[in-house]
Amino acid sequence: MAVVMKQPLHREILYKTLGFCRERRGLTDVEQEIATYPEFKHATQNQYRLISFLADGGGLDRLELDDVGEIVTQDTKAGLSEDEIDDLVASYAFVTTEAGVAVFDELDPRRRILDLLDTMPEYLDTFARVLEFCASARTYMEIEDLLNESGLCWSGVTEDEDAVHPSYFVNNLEKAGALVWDEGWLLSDEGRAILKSIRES
Amino acid sequence: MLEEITMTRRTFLKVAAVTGAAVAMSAPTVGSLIEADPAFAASPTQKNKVKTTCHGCIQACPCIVTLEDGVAVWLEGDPQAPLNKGSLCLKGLNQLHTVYSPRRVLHPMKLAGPRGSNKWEKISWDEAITLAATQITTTIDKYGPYSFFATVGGGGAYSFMQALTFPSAFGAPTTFEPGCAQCYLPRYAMAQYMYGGDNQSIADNSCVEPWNEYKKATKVLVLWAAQPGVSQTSESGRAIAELRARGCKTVVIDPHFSPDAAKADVWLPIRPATDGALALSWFRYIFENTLYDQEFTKYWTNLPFFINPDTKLPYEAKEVWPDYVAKTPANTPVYVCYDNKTKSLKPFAFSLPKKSAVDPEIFATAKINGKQAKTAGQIYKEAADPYTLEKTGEICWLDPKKIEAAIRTYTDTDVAGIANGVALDQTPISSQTPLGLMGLDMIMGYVNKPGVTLTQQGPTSVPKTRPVTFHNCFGGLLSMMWGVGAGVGMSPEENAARIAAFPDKATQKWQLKLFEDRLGIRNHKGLFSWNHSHIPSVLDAIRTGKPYKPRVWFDMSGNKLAMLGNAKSWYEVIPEIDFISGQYPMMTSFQVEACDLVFPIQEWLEWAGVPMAQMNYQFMTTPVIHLGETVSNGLPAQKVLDKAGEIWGKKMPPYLIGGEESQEAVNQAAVATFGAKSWDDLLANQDKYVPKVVPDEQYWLYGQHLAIVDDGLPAGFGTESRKCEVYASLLIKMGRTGYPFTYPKELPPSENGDYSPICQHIEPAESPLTDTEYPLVLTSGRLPYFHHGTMRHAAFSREICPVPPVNINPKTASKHGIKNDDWVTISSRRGEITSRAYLTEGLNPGVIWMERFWNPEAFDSSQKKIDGGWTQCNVNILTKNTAPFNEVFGSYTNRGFTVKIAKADGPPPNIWTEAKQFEPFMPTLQNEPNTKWVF
Repeated sequence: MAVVMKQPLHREILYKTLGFCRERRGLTDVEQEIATYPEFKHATQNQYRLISFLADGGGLDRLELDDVGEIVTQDTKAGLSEDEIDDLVASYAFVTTEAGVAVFDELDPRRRILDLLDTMPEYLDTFARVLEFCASARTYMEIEDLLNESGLCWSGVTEDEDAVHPSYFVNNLEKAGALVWDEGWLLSDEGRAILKSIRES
Repeated sequence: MLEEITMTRRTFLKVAAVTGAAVAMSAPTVGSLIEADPAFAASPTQKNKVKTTCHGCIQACPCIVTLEDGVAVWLEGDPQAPLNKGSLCLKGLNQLHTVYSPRRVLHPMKLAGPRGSNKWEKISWDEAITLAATQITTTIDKYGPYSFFATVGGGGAYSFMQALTFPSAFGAPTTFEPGCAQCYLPRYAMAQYMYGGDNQSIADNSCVEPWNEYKKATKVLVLWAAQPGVSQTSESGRAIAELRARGCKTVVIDPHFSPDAAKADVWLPIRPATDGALALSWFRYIFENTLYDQEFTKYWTNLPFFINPDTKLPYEAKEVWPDYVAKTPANTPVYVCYDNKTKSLKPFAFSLPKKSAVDPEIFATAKINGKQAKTAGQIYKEAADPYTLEKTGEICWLDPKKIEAAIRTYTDTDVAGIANGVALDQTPISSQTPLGLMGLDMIMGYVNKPGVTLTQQGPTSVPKTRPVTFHNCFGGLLSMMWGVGAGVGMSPEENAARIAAFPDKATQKWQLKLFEDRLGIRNHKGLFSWNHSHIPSVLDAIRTGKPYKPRVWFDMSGNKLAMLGNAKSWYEVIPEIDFISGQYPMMTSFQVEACDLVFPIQEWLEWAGVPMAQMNYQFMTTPVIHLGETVSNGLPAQKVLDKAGEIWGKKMPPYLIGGEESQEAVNQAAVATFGAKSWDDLLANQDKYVPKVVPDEQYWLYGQHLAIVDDGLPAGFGTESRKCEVYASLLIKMGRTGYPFTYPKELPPSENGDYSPICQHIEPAESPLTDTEYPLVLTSGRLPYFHHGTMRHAAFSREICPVPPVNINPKTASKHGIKNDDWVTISSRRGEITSRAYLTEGLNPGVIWMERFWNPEAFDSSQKKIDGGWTQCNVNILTKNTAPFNEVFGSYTNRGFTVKIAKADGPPPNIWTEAKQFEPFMPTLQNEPNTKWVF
């Protein structure tokens, strides 16, 4: 969990990678998958390093493969020199560990979003308003205007201790996995599903 | 891109092996990327000497560097320097170890592993600037400009103005440094509020009069919470030794038997954080025994003014006599006093004492407009009344006879002054204590006279017009730049006209918006003096997202994990920050644990030609050597700002002060300052151009308030009343509305009520008088080997002082079975650390003392954990960064909180304790070539 949560820029990438690797994936496949995540556009590390963070942190098993895709085991390596081992390993694959699966389940966006709405019922309407607004990509300024104009949000100095800025809602929805930044704020699949259930309730 | 996506680590390493690139390393590399001059010439060794200025601490002693074949090998003080006079202290000498330290960061370094892994890759300056700017602009695009924040502080790179203005250039209000409210701001700002003049701080070069050798006048110096002997050893530490030698008496108020306390005529080992009570006892004794300067107090302070009990502000004459027409200008109000000549209430118009129509009574009560009112002097007297010598002795754990001896030493002379230090800023009474200490000098008339501490120097200190103080940063810098804030000493009409005339209305409006949105500012409006945010409020905002979340961080100096109060609370929020850029000459635990990108910054032997002053002498900073791709402090911020503008396709507003485009530009400014023909001319003829001296008779000036100015009146002081405001009425207005900083906008009042306009005693929230679980009180101070959080990489200083000592009275130690040199655990309600006992009678048994920062920086593969011991030994694991805060400045509790101690089994696991272990700190970069500047 600590590895996934160490830096917000990488949090959703690492979470999604744990999900993607629940079945064994080749290194190239994982790298290509990560490249499709909108969050990766602003990641500060390349895919291999991000995968390594998970592998080194115990979230992924790193599997060494020979040139026909078979796993190179310790038994296979027994008696070989370092150079021979190096030549034997042709590629890598990754699979999510039990601990990784547990983290993936714990960080399920649907669970995170419901937790958010449960712990902040006073903001339910505001969250719903932002989610609805982000059915198509929105700039932060557009969201700020929406909340300021609707009087749902703090703008400027106030004597209300609980007053918050529009970014408070964006931050919470993003952290819960309901919004994703893709050159604008946009509903994630889970965000869309939650919005639907809010509308229906 | 495709190649990068499909490249495996194995493939990458194969490529790296061919290209010679290194993907990640466990410590920064030191190879040069750019064209370099050879470091060593052929034999024989070429020696030369260069004059420059030390920047081991902020006192900046001129010094001389000896180079052998381009390598700095020897440092000594410059004998031409008027204050250090050829001496240089350990902090300065540490430079030879730090500048060539194997821990130097010589190239931009990007994190190559998870945060805290200490794995880095060397990247180009262009990549580094682009990375930082992209992260900042993207974060602002995503969450708005308030998501950006900048910080500074901790020593090593002095980017104060840059950090203070950099966020504004992005439209962000958040900036802080661990010092500020905890270091110097309260003492600096309170002097500005009380009389618009220089303050009593020795370490910050404000109090220089005692070192004046042109007129040697100081007869008594009170060192209140200051220890120049260890803080500024070669400068004011050396000077005070001379002062004593020529017969000046000293009184030292310090819980700890410092080197200055050891030589004092009277030492008062005060209980930490009870300085307010002691100051009030001095007021009481001085009032009771009529020891104050009666003429100065009557005519040059506001103590004779009657105070409206409802508003807590002085009555103006027109409030009492509606038909009264003042003869003084609108910027010089007429107040109300009790006139001893006529035995009645009278208008008290501003004038020279000899021209005054009244003989004002300082202590009086009277019915005014149907209400019982008191003079400010009477209010002070009543506030001080409970603090008898005996009562104060009980509160402060002092001998009443010694308190009296200290007061008498201070009062029974014609020339004395109080000089103070940072300890006063590090408790929640950080505003109340300087109010008291400057108030004492004011009622004693120790102002603008030879030998006293509250003096102003130089030709510009003599006013030609009615003095006006702008409080938005130094000299009102931000008032001028942004067209905000009132000038104190201007009439309401003059202030309104000034604001209306400011041409850039958009800037004015936006800056006022940033002012009101600053975190924690509503309750602690004194932070506006330096345009800072309230640190605990920033921490809360990062943690909770309320009211907005600062989340992309540009840190400009120091080790925040050593410097910030309750440092672990900051460590815990690092995972909430999207991206952290740091800049520093070294890798410290902060860069290792927190940063995603580190810019390489110069040590002071590499700095470009910034002029530095020591009293009336100006010396130059000379770039003596230059390693790798290091740059000056102000350069990364400017480059990142420029790049952000490029990314956004717009010109960024010119708010960044101290941002540098190139090192050469800095040198050219020095050329102009010293009047040389060129930089080469200046370098070749340092003896001719340096130092630049203001003649003594033009520098050591006195009685500035008596000078008659253009309105025919004496200049007075830069306050509303034109007098020394011992009763600081500006604080009342400030707490209620933000005046003068936010003028013309009014902010809501502080939630905790009015700020106190006079000195107060407030018992610490964690008090040894009542705390049974944590019965001891901890205070801290400096050691002579280190400045702030810097220099812990200097091998020889670490050999001298390998571990942080904790000083304990032998009586207390014996209760716990602790002997000298035993390892001891110290626990507070925030955490626990381990230290080594030093037993000394120089402390009250109820007090323990530690160095005020500690960052062992001993991280390498010999430790099991990466943290290098900062969690095990750092006193800031114990300090308190929660309420109560100082009302004006929001200062938290770095000193004067409760702890308990116990004997420990041994040292903590992650620090080095023996001299030999510090071998990895020995300098290794002497063979690095002296490189050319990057920009």
